[in-house]
Amino acid sequence: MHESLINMYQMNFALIHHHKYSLTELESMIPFERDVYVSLLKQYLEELEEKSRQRK
Amino acid sequence: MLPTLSVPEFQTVLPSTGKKITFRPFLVREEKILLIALEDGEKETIIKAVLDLLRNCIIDEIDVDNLATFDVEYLFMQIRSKSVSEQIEMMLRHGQGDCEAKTKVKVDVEKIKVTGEISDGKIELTDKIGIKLKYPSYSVDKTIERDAEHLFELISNNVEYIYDQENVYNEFTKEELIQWIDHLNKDQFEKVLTFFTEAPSLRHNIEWECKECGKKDYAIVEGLRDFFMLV
Repeated sequence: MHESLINMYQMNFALIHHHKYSLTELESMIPFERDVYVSLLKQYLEELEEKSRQRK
Repeated sequence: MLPTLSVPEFQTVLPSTGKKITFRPFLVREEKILLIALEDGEKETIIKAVLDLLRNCIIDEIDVDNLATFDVEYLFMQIRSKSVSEQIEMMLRHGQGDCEAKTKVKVDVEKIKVTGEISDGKIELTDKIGIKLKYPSYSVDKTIERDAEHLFELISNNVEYIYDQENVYNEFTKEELIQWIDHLNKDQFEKVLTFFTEAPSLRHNIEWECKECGKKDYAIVEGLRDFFMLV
């Protein structure tokens, strides 16, 4: 499997509680779509972290 | 107002009949059901999860319960390729030897094909009498092991009809059928058995080279459980 059940719950929880997604939205996505959003979000957070590091 | 279609549709060809099948990718909520079945690990749970998924994702009218096992495996992989990725990544390690390294191997789903000749199931037993068989399906044969003890059950579950020069016989009890099969001679029984032992299957040979020791190795993926693990 390209992911495990526990990973799926952890990822859904993080997306719902930290990034304003709803469970209905997440569960209505095609798995590759969700992977794309997670990857874009990860990229965005890395950029934010880099900017914050540069400011210091 | 009719519901709006929000997922793309794709087409593939059913290996056993060559018929075009339209399907949609599965969704995250459906993937969750597959993951729960995988956690459970029971053969019957996995089969049920896969058949339910096919019922949900195939848009055309099709009797999923009567699909041949290789059709189910093929459709499942086709739906997987449009839902997750057209490539499967897996970590492989040598089956034997000292090297413990794991190598990332990519498999193209489009290259996974049904192997073996697909027969129409008609077998001539004598000049006058023949039998029409169908390939086993997961819904009927899910609990049947492919061993000698269960051969009669496997065969009797998959007889469509028996025919001679004048008639087609498709109304019989299971007991009558088992008795009829029991009266086949060795050659006739072998012919019937060959239909099942040489049934097509979804099978893929993966050849890979270890990133650590450089040795070439191979792995075979076959059967619903193997393909299910890849999803």
